[in-house]
Amino acid sequence: MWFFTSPKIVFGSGAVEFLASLPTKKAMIVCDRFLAERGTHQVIVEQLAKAGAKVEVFGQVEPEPHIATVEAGVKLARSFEPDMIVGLGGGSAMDMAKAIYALYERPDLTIYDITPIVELNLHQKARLIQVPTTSGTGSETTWATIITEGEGGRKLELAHRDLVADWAVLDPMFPSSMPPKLTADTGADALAHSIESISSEWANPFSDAMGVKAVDTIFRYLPKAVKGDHVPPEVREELHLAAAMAGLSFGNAQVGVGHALGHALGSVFKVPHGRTVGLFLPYHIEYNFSAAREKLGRLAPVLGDSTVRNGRDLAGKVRALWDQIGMAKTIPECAKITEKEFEEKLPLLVERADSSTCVVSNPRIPSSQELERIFRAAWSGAPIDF
Amino acid sequence: MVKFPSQEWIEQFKEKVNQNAAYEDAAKSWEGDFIFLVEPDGALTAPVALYMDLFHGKCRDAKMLATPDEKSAAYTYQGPYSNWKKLINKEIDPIQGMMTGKFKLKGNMMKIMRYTRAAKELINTASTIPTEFP
Repeated sequence: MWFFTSPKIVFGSGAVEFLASLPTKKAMIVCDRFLAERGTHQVIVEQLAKAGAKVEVFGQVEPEPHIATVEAGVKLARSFEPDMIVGLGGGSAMDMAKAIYALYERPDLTIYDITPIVELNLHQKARLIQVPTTSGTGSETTWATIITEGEGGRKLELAHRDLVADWAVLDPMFPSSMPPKLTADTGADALAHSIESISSEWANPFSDAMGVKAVDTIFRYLPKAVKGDHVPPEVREELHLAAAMAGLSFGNAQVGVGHALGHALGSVFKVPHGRTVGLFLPYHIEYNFSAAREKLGRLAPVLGDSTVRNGRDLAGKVRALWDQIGMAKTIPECAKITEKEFEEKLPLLVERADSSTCVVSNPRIPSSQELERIFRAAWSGAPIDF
Repeated sequence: MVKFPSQEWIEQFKEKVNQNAAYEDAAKSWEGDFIFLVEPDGALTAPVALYMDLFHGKCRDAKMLATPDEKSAAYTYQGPYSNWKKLINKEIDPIQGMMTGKFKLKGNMMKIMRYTRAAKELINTASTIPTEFP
């Protein structure tokens, strides 16, 4: 027995106009400072005004958002009492919207109570709407939220089925101005979601369908979106939908050791999420291939029979894509840290990866020693051969 | 073959847990005792509680309780007998089992979510016991 959980999805050019049709009295928009200063949220405000809604903007979300920011947002929500909360932005803003939403709906809880094995009974006071402005995080379609405990602190991997949005609004106007580096980082994140979920012990026919389609789209379109001077709108739209599909894939099947390692590296050395999980994707494939050969074989129709015959070739295919879009393949390329710093922090990196919930459905259960060996391989660029 | 649930079964479980290096590694910083509550269902007509004191990768104590409320513990993991059978036979994943309502867990959730690898190793260990289900 298992579930496939998804928000209702409105997509395509003009999708944002759908917000005007939702009866709303008070809406709270959660976005990052950059979007708030740039005025991107005004597009949402205009649509909500058509619905007659009063709007409050919480535009304080920082990258890799902290618990303190959640608390500030919850305070605003409790005083404003919205019947709609809109997450607008990348993963940080949408994750923040989920956390604020949960604690607004349930003032009796703390953030640590958000686990998938309790009853939350959300969706009583407000609707949750997610509007991604990047194409990668998949947060718009998942029930996971990543919140950092504090400066340099652990990333809390919180999840609950009730955190799935009522609606995900996928309008390609939002990611149309993403710069190449952000396009690459977010696209790498989406590819990691797809391949890790396909290899997961919890993979299922629904998640596989979404994951395989996302992999196909990302390999086809991501280089065009990163390299092109003027990215055609249809390329942006394909990648925007692929990111949401990758979210549906991993949201219903989990990610794996690649994300556990990426979260650890990102939290310790403050590296953007997409860059770290992209870095570890080839290592995830090499480490898990022997245990996930059959599952990863489902990628044959989109990547070719020969590519999925062994882990080295499949990881090589990903590394070749990383070369095309300028993604890091080793930790020194990714994190700009010295070997001494890496060695000093290695025990902490292992400890954080070891305690990550991302390993729960990984095809192989990695020991602490194996996690350390993967970190070392990612430092030197050596393939995984154990 | 050892009957589940029974004193003999929980003793064998303790012995195998203490021989499992992978569990020891995954639970090296774990401190907390458990009650595994088997709810009556099918061939089992009364609830049975199995107690385990797990500390730093080892099991310090394990026994079948005379009654479910004989002892309290930091965590209680409970479900019907038929689901325990599926869990030990690895037909149910221990975490998915909780997420689908087949098992319930009482205790500090955030702490235990950091030890999902240890939970899987525990179930892997349980599945190595030659178990007889009445």
